[in-house]
Amino acid sequence: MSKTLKLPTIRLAANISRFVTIVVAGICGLVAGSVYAQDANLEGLGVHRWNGYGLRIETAALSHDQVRGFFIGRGFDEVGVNALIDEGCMFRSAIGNDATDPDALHVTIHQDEWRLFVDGEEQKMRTRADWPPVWDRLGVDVEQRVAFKWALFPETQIFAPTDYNWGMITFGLPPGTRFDLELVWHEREIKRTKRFQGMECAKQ
Amino acid sequence: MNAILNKLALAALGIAVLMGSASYTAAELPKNGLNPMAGTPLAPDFSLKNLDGEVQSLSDFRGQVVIVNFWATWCPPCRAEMPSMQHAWNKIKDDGVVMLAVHVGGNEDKVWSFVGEYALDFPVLIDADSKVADAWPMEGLPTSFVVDPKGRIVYRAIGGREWDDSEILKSVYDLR
Repeated sequence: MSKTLKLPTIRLAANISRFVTIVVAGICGLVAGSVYAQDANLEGLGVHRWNGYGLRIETAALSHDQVRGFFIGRGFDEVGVNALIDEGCMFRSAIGNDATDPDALHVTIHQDEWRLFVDGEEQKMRTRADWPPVWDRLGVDVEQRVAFKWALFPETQIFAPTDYNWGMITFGLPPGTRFDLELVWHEREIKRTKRFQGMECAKQ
Repeated sequence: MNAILNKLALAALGIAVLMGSASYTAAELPKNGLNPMAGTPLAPDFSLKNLDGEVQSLSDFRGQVVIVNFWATWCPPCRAEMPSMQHAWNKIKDDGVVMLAVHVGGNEDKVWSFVGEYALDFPVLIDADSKVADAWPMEGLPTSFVVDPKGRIVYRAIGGREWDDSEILKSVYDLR
């Protein structure tokens, strides 16, 4: 009697163990999948999103009319706006720490570490610090420089949990250029990377 | 008339450019997130004109808790947090807590319109050349700081917040 009771008990235990293993593996798979998931429609001018390992980012190319509208509204003249359109490859972006737990890790980005690839060739992106010489050349006034500086995403930013910024990013490529962007960020001392493929500067 | 309409259209488009981001909408403004400021550095003093042309200095408020918010009219999360700042101001202004909203950049006409549209009555100061913003430990807008009665920066919040949230207000009140 005891043997007949033990056998199903052992089978039950084994089945529970297998079930738990499968569930745990499934959950791990789902978590990993969600970390690496990105929108299916990321080609070209679509919105590029990432949410994982502390970082939350959303970015999309700005059309030339959007750039024109925003910066003429900030007092830029046609010459300054055209420089942004011809040399900027501007994207809007929202970037932050996706954690809400106050004890979660801080996230740091340095845009100098981000890498652009055009036809497989690595190129340097253009950040806030690269624009003042352009404004010097074009004689852009202080008020417009101030507006531009604060509209652009900073080169370096440390995000505590819940912190985020909105801002524009300039990749410094001609209109219509297709490229890949390798994002780099740091969760405390851990370096993380993520590649957005098939990004595109607005053609018009 | 056409010129005015064009300007209005451009202004609307300008805001829409940055509002296009689906993440971090106003509905998602964090209710917590006054993050401790490492080292609690002394807040850089400043003297700036308010919208009435009067000069106000941060050091005028030594001995009180001061919320210093850096913002701009064209910045979507700045606009999103303004109603909650006004609600917070209604609660705190008689409790020995000061709120100073420093507009980064000039164009006082637009600031005037904005303040009227949002019915704001806390002090708004103009940092036309960005020299004050450049002196503070910040890189983007909006960024807010909570300064304790000794003039030290105790908290910083990068990005918009729900300022009238009880958790945030408790953190502020606890500094008195």
